[in-house]
Amino acid sequence: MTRPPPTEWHAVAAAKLAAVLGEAKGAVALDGALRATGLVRISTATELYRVAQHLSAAGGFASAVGGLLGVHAVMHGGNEVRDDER
Amino acid sequence: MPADPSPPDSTDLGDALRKSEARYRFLAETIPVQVWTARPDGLLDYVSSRAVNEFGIPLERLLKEGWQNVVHPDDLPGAVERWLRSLATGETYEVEFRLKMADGTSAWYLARAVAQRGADGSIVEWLGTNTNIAEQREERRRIQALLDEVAAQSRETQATLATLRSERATLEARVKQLEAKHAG
Repeated sequence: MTRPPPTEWHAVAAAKLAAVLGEAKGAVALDGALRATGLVRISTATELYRVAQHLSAAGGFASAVGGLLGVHAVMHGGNEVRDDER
Repeated sequence: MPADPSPPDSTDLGDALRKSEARYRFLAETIPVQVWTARPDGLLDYVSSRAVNEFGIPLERLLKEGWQNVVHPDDLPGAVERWLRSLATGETYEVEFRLKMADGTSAWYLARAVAQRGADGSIVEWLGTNTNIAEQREERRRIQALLDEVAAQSRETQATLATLRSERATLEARVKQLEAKHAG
């Protein structure tokens, strides 16, 4: 499977979740995390970090993927500060 | 000392045998796996009703044709090779394959059979089960996918850290240059 470019945040999250949870469950997990964080789409590293934090609390495989996405987001400049607060 | 019990007559033995068979048949029909037995030459002679229902194939046809028409074509050669090896050697048969269900879908099963031997050591019968392992396989796939993601993230993190270290060294060198310039 081709990996999306590292700064295509939404695609990175969708791809990692689909790879581990499967297409259907991965999409459900991502939708849930987006709703919980008030996002429609992940457009920045910090938004990815917020989604990752939510996933990390979900438990199970989704939690592990959340951890990986959190590392990815931080490595690319994401943090817990909202973009409009920066 | 109590007197020796009189030897059981043939009626007692027959009753005991029937009860024993009924008990094992009940077990085979109620446990949540497909149960089957085969003759020493490999021909099926019993398949539990769970298999009949899951495959949607009449019992008589299943007994006559065996698993050949329900095993996924891609998995059939390996399964046949393992079965023939077990029949020849008597070693436990164990193989994972996809079976075609009555609704047209395929599901992963673990087939396992052990040889029951008589007093002389020869094989009397093969006792087998087919267990649905779809969930276990999906769990294994998820674990492997997660490990792949961890490995990929590790590589990316190492590359990023190496870049950051290089950039820091460049900046430190630049700071030293500026400090030397100011000191001079």
